[in-house]
Amino acid sequence: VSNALGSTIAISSTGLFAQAQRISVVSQNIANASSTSSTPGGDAFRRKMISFEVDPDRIGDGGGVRVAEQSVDTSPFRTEYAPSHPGADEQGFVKMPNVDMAIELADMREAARGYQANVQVIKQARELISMTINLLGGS
Amino acid sequence: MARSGEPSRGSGAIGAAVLATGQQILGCGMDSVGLLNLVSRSNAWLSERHNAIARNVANVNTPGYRAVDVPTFSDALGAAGGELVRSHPAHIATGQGVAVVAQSESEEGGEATYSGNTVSLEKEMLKAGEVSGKFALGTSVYKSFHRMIISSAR
Repeated sequence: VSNALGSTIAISSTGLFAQAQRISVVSQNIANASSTSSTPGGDAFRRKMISFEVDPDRIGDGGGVRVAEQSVDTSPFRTEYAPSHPGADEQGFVKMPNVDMAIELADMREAARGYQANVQVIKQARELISMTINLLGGS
Repeated sequence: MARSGEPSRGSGAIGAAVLATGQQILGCGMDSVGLLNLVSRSNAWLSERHNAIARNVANVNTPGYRAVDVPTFSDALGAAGGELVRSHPAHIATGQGVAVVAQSESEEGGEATYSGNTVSLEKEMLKAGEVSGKFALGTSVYKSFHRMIISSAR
């Protein structure tokens, strides 16, 4: 009994780890939402993205989740007219990061919801284990 | 007072009688339906189901992941004549009589999202609540039957 429930906790903890990493990537994106280049015409900060996959190493143990890869968003930069900026090109345009606050916030909400759900499963597995252990103490 | 299971030398006859009564209770009375065994199997099945729920919740944002579930308890119990079996080498090794059931793709098939993921958090939470309730019922039944056996052997 405790074998399955023990690996349940291990699986949910992989979920916690993955969602936490996702939140960390979101925070990087938000923190760098206006990080531009300091050299004229240079590229600004590119939005980072994270993707998940089933963890094949743990398949016998129940198949948790892991971070597959971190990639960057290759969508074009926004440009702003700011001739006095050190990163401005000859026409006076500065490349701004391709970070969209609405997308980041939605992503963060989704990650937080996933994290919460995993915590709930761990809590419940612990409850089930302690129910079984309490069989010893009863009667 | 002689206790069942360890009759003292002085009161050997009484001890033997108590032991016989105990065996009678376990053999043909209370445990004739194999209730204690059934409860532990049921709880093993519930733990496995909880394991499947944990997989689904952990992979709630994994692209292309298909939600898994275990067959119903009666199916799992009936499939092998009352015995739950290990049906795939990747399953967790079974100890003595610990049942492990196959986890397969869920048939309910939640709406696949754009990424091809079929996990519905709401559905998983509902299932988790169900598992928790049934598990509590199982342990309570086990506990009360155990108490009855102990009190009759006292």
